[in-house]
Amino acid sequence: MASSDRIDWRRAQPGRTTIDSGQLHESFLRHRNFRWAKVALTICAIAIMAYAFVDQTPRAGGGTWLGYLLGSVGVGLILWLTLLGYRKRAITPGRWSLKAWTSAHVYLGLSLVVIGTLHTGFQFGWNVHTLAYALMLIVIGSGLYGIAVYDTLPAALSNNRGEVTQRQMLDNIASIDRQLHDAALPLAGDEAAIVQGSIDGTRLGGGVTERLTGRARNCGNRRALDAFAALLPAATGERAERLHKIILLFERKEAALGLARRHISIRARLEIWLFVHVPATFALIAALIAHVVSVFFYW
Amino acid sequence: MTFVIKQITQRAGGGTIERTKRLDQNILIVGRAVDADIQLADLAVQLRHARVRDIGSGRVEVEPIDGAAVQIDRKLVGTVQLSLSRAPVVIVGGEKLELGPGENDGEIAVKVERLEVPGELRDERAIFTLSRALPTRRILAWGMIVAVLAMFLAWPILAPHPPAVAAAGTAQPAAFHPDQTWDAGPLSPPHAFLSKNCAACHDKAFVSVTDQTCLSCHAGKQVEKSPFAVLRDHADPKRLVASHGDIPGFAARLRTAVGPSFGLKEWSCTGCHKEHVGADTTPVSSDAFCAGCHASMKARLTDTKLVNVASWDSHPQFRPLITDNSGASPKLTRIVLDGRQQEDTGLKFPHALHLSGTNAVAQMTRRLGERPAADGGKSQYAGAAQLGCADCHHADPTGVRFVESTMERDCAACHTLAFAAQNGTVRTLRHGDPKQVIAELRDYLKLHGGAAAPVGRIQVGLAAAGRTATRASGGDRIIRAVFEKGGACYDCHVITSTGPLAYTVKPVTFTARYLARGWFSHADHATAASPCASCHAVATTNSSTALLLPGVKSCQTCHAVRPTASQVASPCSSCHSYHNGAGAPAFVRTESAEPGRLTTKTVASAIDKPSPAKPDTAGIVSAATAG
Repeated sequence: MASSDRIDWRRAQPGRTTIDSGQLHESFLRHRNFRWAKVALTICAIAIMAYAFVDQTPRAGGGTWLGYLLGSVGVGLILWLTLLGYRKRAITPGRWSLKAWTSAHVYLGLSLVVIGTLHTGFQFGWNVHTLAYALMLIVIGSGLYGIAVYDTLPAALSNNRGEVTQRQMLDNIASIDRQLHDAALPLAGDEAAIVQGSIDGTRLGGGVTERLTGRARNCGNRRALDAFAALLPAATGERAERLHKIILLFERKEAALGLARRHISIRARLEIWLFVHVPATFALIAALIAHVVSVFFYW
Repeated sequence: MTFVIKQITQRAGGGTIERTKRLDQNILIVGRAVDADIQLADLAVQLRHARVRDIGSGRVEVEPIDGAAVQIDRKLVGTVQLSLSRAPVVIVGGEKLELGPGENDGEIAVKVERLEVPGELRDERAIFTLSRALPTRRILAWGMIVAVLAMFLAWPILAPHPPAVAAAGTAQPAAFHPDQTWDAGPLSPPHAFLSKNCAACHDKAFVSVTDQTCLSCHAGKQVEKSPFAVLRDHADPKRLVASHGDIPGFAARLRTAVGPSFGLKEWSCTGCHKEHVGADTTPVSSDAFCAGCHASMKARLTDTKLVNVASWDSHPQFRPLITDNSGASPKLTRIVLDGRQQEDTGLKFPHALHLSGTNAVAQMTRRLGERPAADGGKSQYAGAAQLGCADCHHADPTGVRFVESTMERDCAACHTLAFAAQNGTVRTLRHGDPKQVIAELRDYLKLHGGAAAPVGRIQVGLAAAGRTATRASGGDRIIRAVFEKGGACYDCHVITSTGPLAYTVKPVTFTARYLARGWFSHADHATAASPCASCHAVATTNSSTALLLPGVKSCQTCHAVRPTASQVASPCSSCHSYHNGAGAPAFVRTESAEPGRLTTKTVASAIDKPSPAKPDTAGIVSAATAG
């Protein structure tokens, strides 16, 4: 594939509109000329005005009529926003297309910052009420992170891997492993064990931190490379040549692993937000249940 | 001989493709080269890597070409002969060749397949997607739901409560109870000690805090035993309910409409006294709350003597209780202040005469100031150019009101009752007892021949009367002169003659508190910039009966609902309690907790006088504490 035929991730970004094959591509953020952004801004403006002008005695909070109203709107929005998880599995065009739905999800979700904060009346404490508020902010924050990484990371992902598919990355490493195996067959036991350590002890993937940072702790290949580099100066003749060949294989493998790890790291950063966004949403709903029940339990 | 070669390749999207070809020859060349019989696309494979030769009787010979690496059972081998019946696997580079007998006689089957990726590198999804490094989102979500509900809902509900301690008024329970995670906000300071004991007030699930719960501490009958304050300030609840109109505001109407469905009674303690709304907020009601009933209360509470009032701006004129001295005994009468009323205290006291700076009174004040006081100390008049209000009006210990003026303390320094001096002893008449005065004077005149000796020129009163009496002749005339016009008693008192040498003096009655339903602390208003005369027009009247109370307009100079820079914000509760009690109202009591919330600076500048160098807040604090 020539480079001009590559998938242009920038074009597929949220927030960018490009003319593509004569058709206007409109991202979910720009959907219908920011219709849902305007709706959300209007809701926020109304909420702020109400908060400023309604007499909330003895003080603003969830217990005034405006507080109950903002709280009810907030809960309704949260439950509706949660439904995106079900809605997204059915792709339909039109007024309530998935794009429209997603656009509304983002902007109405952001308006919750205003609605929720006004509902609190700026009263915070170490209690289930503030827990619900904090969880809401975590959900919204992770969502914002998700939009941000969808805008930037796919390009990085594409730049990193070029034409190489994930399968090819693994095959390439496996192929090097086989060559290492073959090249190491004439070696003595200790040295063969080091090469075997590279083949068996390759770390790719691993835990969450390892994936996010793209740094493998205690990778067998790195150890093997260091060990052979230490052996090389003392070696002569055919043995030196053999060691040199193996070291080159180790270095090729190190490069292949680096490519795969960067790929894994970018993907992890691209995927991690949903592991916060979704569970925190359900934690939020649980906290909301506790919040509402506790208020009426100690009515 | 025939080789049947089955080459298996992996599809990109999963699955396999099989290609089979038959070669009728004895030798197969395996390699990367295009003319190899089995072509392997693998850099680890040499162009011509190995030969596979049929040597008959179900056996083949595998021969590496030019020392290329060929493995059988993970061992490098040279030229080997293999039995097809044992299905040998020959590994060349990254490919494996599975040899075996063909379906037909004389056929040799060769299955060519890429070696599987070793171990952990096989599962593409496991390596590249984050989901394998974490529990699934479903598990995480359920875990968090269970954790949150268990910790913040089930635990607080199910954990046993310690026995109720509120009624006993004891301190907080020592043990932590998980319902504290439900605490919606700080309690008001008087209730703060209950903040770790939710169940003290929230005794029934899903039932709003009941009046009964409040009254378990705040009942009047428990005053003696309980450390709590009594229920103060409240009018009879029945009259409260009868008087209330539609409380203004959407919130109140909503509460009235839907509250009962949620167990909120229309009339309950918690309806007005909100809790968990912050330590800095005490449950003091707003002006709108007061006006909700009082703006049109007469229509509902027809027997009330209170006048409708919608706000401080339209506050009706004050209706003080004044002393009516016209009858046999004084009684209190309510009047509407109009600036023309008279109040007869029974005392003749022209204010303007006494407060003049240029007359004989001022001169006498200066003279008194030059002498030492009776106890030998400095005179209270020392340095004074004239009499001041405080020379006769003394604040009570709280500073809120004044104690009654008395003859002995406040008048006698000038208005002496001395009538004779004898061997350095000054004889004085007994104040307040006409019969004793008559008896004493009669005795004295009998002994001394009917003439009292003047005791000094500086003192007036009896001395003046004495001179008059001396000019007159006869003891009875002297006695009569004391009680009649020009005499010492007559100057200040209303005297009635009830027979020959029999007189009654009209009792002097001062009103202790004019505005019984309103709070006014003189100490709160006593600053250098607001002298007495700024409210009481004492300097311009010589009438003894003029009622010198300021009207509501006078108060409105400084007190306003929406204050300007030189005014003080003044809710209803700055003067009025809710609704009983003679003490300071809630607003003023609150001030004692936060001294300095009101400063007198603004008050001072409201009156057209220079501000004092230091604002005098001490008065406010002491009065509020006393109130």
